[in-house]
Amino acid sequence: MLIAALLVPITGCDEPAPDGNSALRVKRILGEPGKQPGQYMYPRGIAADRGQLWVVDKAARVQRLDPETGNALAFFQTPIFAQGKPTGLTVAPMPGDASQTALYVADTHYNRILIYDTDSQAAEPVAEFGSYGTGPGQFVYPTDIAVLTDDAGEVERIYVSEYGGNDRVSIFDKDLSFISSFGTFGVEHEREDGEEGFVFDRPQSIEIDKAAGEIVVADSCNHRIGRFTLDGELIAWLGGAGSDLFRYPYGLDLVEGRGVLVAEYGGNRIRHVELETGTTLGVYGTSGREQGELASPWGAVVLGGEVFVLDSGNNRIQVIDSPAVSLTQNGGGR
Amino acid sequence: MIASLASLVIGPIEFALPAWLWLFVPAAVFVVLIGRKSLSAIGSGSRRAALFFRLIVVALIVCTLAEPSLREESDKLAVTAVIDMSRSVPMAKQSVAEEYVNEAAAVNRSRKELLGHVTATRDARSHGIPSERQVMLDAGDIGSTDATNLEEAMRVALAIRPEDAAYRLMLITDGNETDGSLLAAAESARAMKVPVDVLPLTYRYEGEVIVERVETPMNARMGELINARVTIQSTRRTKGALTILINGTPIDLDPQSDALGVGVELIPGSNTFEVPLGVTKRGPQEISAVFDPSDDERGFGDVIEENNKAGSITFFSGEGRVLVLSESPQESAELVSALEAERIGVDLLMADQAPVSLVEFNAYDAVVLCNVPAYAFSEQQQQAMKQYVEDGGGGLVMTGGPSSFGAGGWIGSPVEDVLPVQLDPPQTRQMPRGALALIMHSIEMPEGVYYGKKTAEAAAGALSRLDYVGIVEYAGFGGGSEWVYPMSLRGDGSAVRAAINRLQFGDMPDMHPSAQLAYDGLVAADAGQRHAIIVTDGDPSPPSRALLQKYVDAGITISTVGVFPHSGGPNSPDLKRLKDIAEFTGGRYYGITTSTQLATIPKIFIKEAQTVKRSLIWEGNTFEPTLTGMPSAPMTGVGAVPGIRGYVVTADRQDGLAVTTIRGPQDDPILAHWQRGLGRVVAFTGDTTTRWSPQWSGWSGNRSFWGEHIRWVMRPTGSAEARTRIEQIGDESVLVVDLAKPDTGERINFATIKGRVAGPDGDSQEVVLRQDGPGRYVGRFDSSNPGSYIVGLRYVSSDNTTGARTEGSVQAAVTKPFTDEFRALEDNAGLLRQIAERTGGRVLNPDPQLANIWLRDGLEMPVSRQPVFLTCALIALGFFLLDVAVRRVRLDLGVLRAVGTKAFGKSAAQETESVRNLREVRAKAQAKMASSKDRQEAAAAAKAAAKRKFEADPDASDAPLDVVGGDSAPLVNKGEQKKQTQKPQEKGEGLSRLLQAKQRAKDEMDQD
Repeated sequence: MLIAALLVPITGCDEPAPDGNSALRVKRILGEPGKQPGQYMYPRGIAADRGQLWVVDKAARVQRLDPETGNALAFFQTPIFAQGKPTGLTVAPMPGDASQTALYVADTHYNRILIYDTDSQAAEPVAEFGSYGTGPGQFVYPTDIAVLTDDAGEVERIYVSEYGGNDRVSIFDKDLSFISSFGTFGVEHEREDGEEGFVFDRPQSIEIDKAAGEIVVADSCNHRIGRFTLDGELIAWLGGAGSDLFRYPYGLDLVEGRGVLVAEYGGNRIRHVELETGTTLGVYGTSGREQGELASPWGAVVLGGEVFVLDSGNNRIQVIDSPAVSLTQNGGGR
Repeated sequence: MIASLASLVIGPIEFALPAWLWLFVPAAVFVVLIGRKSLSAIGSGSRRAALFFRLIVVALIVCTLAEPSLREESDKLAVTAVIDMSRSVPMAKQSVAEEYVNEAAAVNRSRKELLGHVTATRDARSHGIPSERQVMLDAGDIGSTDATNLEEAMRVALAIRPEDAAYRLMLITDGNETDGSLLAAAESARAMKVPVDVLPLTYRYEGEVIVERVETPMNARMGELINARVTIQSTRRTKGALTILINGTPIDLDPQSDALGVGVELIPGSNTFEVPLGVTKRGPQEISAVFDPSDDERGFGDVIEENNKAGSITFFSGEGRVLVLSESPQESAELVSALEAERIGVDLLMADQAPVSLVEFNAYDAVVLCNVPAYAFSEQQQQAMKQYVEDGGGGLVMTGGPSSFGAGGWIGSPVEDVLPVQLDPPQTRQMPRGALALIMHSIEMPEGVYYGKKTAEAAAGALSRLDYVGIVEYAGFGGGSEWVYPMSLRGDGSAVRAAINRLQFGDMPDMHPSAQLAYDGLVAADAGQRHAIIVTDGDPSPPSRALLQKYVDAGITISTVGVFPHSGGPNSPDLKRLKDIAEFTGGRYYGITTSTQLATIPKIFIKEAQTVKRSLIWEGNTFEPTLTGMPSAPMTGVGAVPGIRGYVVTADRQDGLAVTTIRGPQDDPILAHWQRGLGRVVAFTGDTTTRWSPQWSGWSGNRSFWGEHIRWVMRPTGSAEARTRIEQIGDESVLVVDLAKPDTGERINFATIKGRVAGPDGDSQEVVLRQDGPGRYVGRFDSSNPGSYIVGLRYVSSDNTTGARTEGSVQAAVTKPFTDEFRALEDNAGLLRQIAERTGGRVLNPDPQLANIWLRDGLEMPVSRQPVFLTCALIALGFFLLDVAVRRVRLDLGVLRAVGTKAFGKSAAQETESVRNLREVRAKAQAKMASSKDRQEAAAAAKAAAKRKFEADPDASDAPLDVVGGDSAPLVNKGEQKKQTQKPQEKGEGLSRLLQAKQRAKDEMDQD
C-alpha cells in the first residue's frame, strides 16, 4: 500500500477533462506559429491523399508537408489574398489525366477554385474556375471540393460546397461545366422562404464515398452531417435538431468501415462516427493549449495509419494513431 | 548552511544539497557495527547480503536527502536578431541588415540553431520566436518608424528566450535611440548572461540640412509687423528655397516671382534669415519655415525631409471673440442673435468645421456647444476642448437639446470632466432605461483587438450608469456564443471594462446564436429603448429571418459595423448581408474599409449608444424653473426666467465645487457653472430654440442673460502688461514672465501666477512660477516630445498701498519642431561597442560569411533537471525490504511443494515431513504437560503457534526469525532464546511464549 501510495504522484491520474473527453495521445506535433516554411498562422485547410499532406493557413500559404517531420516540401501563396484566404483543400487526380495529382484549393474569398499540379514545383495554378454570383456554376465563398472518379481513376465529377447566403453544393463535370446543385441557405434547418426542402448553413466540408454512392456534407452551423446521393438526393441527417452530437462540424474525412472522422470546430474534439447509423465510435481531444488538447480544429485527415489533426487555434498539427480501429483512408471517389 | 553549498554533479546526476552525502560515512560505519552484532546469528552469506543491502539503503537515503536530479545539458543555441527599422537608419542600410542576418544565419547552421526576429521602431515587434524553422527574416508590420526604442526591443528579445537553448542577441542598429535606454536593457541582458553581439550600421549624412528653429515674438498686437528669425544648419554649401507658412498656408515672400518661397544659399554651419511678417488675425498663429533644396542639389545629401521644417507660435491680441458650434444655423440662431445684440464678437461654425487643435481653439476666448453630440468631434478635438479650458483658460458653454449632455453621448468623454454637472443621472432617479447589446466578432487586421476593445469601451462608456449593457462573442473554448458581460446595469463601468479586457474575438461561424442570445438579454431587460450592434468582418452566416422578425416585433433595432469585410465591392456578399440586417430591423450600417475609418469606430459606437439614451431627455408640460439664489456673478440681477418644457437630465457634481443657479423638476440642474483649471464653464441643460424654450425668445432678459454668462466664461484680457519668453534647453523649457503696470511701467511684485501647459500628446502639466527678480517670474516644464506646448497663465496681484487688484491672463507657446529621430547626422557606434563589451558580446564582422553568429564559446548551456529523490526513496524502500527478506525469510522447499501440491488439487491431508515432526513434538508435549498448569499453557501456546506458524511476532527483535521445521535452521536458537526469556513478556500470546513453553516441554521430556 505504501508503494502504491508513493507511486500515485509519479504516475498521475488519467482523469478526463471537464468536458468529459480526454486529451489526445499524441505521437508527434508538426509545425509551430510563424511565417516560415513548416510554420503556420492559423491553418484552416488540410488534405491528405496519394501519400501527400497539404495545409493552407490564414496567410494564404499553401504547404506540402513531410508527414514525419513537418518540413515543408512545397511552399507557395495563392495569387491574391487581400480580401481573404482559402479555407478548403483537396488532393485528387488532375481532370483529364489520372496519372497526375492535383491540389484543389477553395479560394473562398475570391469565389473560385484553383487547381495546382502537385508534381511540378510551379506555384501558379494550372487551372481555375468559378466567379462571384448566385447563378448556376457561380460561387459565393466556396469552402471545399470533392472529386468523383470513374473506375479508371479519371475525374468524373467535381463537387463544390459554398456559403455566404449561397449555401449549397454544386456539381461540375470533368470539363468543369456546371451540371446541377442542391441545397439552399437556412438557419436552424428551415428555409428562409418558408418553402419545403433541406437547407445548409455553412457546408464547410464535403467528402465522397464512391463505393456507397454517397456524398457526405458537414452542415456546420446547423451542427449536423448530411448523406446524399451523388445527384444530391437526401439520404439521412446525422445530428442536428434536438441532438448535441456535433458542435460546429467543420472537417470530414471518410475512413474504412463506413466511418467518418469529424473535426468539431466548436466542440474542440474529433469524433469517429459510423455513417449508416450515426453511432459514435469514439471521441478524442478536449479544449486547451497543452499537448493533446485542441483549439478550434478545422480538420482531421488520415494518412499512413495516422490521424493528422489540424489544431488551428494552436497553430499546429497533432499526429495521433488511428483511433479505435485501424483506420485507413476510405479513398472513396478520390 | 547546507542549502547554501554548491551543487555536485556526478555523471548525469546532480545533487542540489551535496553536503548531505557526507552523512554516508558515519551512517555506514554505524550500520556495519550494528550489523556485525545483530547479524551474527545468521549465516555468513545472508549476513553479507543483509549488510550489503543495508549499506545501499543508507546510501540511497543519503542521496535522497541530497536532492538528486537527472541532469540533461542542451546543445541548442538560439540567436534573436534585433533590427533597428527606424527612420534614422538609412533605408539602404535597413535592407542590408536583413540580408546580413539571412546570410550569416545560413553559415554553419544545423537543426540545433534557432533564429528569432525582433524589430525596433517606436515600439518593439516580435516577428518570430527563436525557431529552427526561421530561415528568412520577414518583418511585416513594424509600427511607427519616427522614433527608436532599442531598450524595449531588447527586452522583447530577452522575453522570447527559449528555455532549452543557450541564447545570444544580435543587435543591428545605428545606436541612435530616442526613447528608453539601451544601456539599461544591456544590464538586464548581462544579468541574464545573454551576450549581445552588435553590428553597427555606420553612416554620416554629409549634406544634411536641418531647419533648427523659428523665433518669433511670443505676443504681438493684431496687424503689427513682426520678424520671423529662421536658423538653418547645413553640413555643406548648398542652396534652395525658404518658405514661410502661417497656420499651414504659405505666404508669398517674393511677389516678383511665381514661386512662393525665396531662394537662399546655405554655408556649412549655422545660417540665419529674418523674414518680416504682418498678421491680421487674432489669437495664436503658428508660423513655420520650410527649406526645400533646389533641384540640382536634390539627392546630394539632404536625405531627411522631416527635419527641413520648424515653427513657432505668436499670440496676436485683439478684441475677444466667441466660437459658437452647432449642427445647423437654426439651432443656434437665437443664441447668436442675443450675443450680437450684446456686442460680443461671434463666429458661428458647423460642428464639422470646428477647430481641430488646441492652438486653433485658443484663438477664441470662449466656445459654445449648442446642442452638438459628442460623436461630431474626434477624440483629439474633445481632448483639445478640455485642455482649452483647463490649461488655456478658455471658456466653455454647453447648451441642451436632444443631442447634448448625456443624450448626446458626452458621458465618459474628456469634455464631461470639465462640465459643472454630472452627466449620469442620480442613482435614485426613476426613469426609463436603455439597453444595448454588443455582438463582437474578430477584426482581422493589425491591432484589430486593440480597436475592438476600444470600440466596446466607447459604447459602454457612453451609456449612463442606469442603462443596461451586455456583450456577446464567440468563445473558441466554450464552443459557442456566450455572454462576456451579461445584460446588466452599466453601473460605474468597472465591471464591463474588465469584461471587455477578457474579450477573445473568436472567429464566429454564424451570427444566429449570438443574435439569439442578445435578443433574449434585451427582451429580459427592463428598458424603454433597446438596441444591438454587430461588429464583424461580415463572413459569418446571418441570423435567421425569423429571429430578425422577432427583433422587429419587439422594437429592437440592430446596427451593423462591417470592419474590413472580405469583399468590399458593390456586390460584396458581406456588405449585402450586413446592410440587409440593419435595414430590416431599422438600424444603420457602417462600413470600415480603411485604417483612417478604423479610428472612427469608437465615434460610431458612441453615436449608436445614443440610440438607447433618449431616456435621459425630460419632455413634458412647461414648468417654471426655480432659481436657487446661490451667489453667482452672471446671475446678478436675474430674478426669474421663463418656463421650459424640456431638458436633458443631469445630476449635481458630488464635490460641491459647482454652483447650480437654476433647477427643474426633481431638483434637476438646469443651469450651473464653475471654474475648472484656468477656465470657466457653464452648463444649460435646456435648449436655446423654441423646441424646449419657446418663451425665452420673447423674454426681455434673454439678451443680458446670455451676454452675462458668456462674458463670465470668456478669458479675461488682463489689466497688466505681461511679457512672456520661453527658452528650450534640452528636454526642458524655461518660461519667463515679466509683469508690469501698463500705465507707469512699474514692475509688479509678489503676484500669484497659476500656469498650466498643454502638451502635444494631449497631456497637461502644471508649471510653478517663482519670482526671480523685480516683476520677473520663472518656471520650468518638460518639453521632450516634438510638437507645440501651449502655456496658459493667470495672474493676480494686490497693491499693498492702494489695495488695487491686478489680474488677467496671458498665453505663451513653444514648439519642438521634429522628433530627435531626425536630428542624428551620424551613427552612435561607440554606444554599441560599449553594449557588446558590457554583455560579453562581440562586434560582428561586417562580412556575414565571417560573422559566426552561432558561436557557442563562453555560453552557459541550459540544463534541464528532473528531480529523482522520490525514485531514490522508493529504491531504498525496495532494498530495505530485501534486507528484511534476507534476514527473516527462509524458503522451505517442502512448504513450497505442499503449496504447489495444494494448488494443483492434491489432498490437503498429505502433510510435509516437517509438519508431521511438529505434530509429533506437540503431541508429546501435550501428554507431558497434561498434569500441570504450565503444561496446559504450553499446549495452548503450541496450538496457537501451529495456527500461525509463518506469522511474525510483533514484539520480535531484529534477530532472524527461524521457520519451524526448516532443514538447515536449528529449531530453536538457544543463544537468542536465552536472550528472549530475559525480556519481560507482557502479552499472553506470542512466539516467544511458545518457544519458552516448547523449551520447557522439551526439557521435561529430556528429563523423562
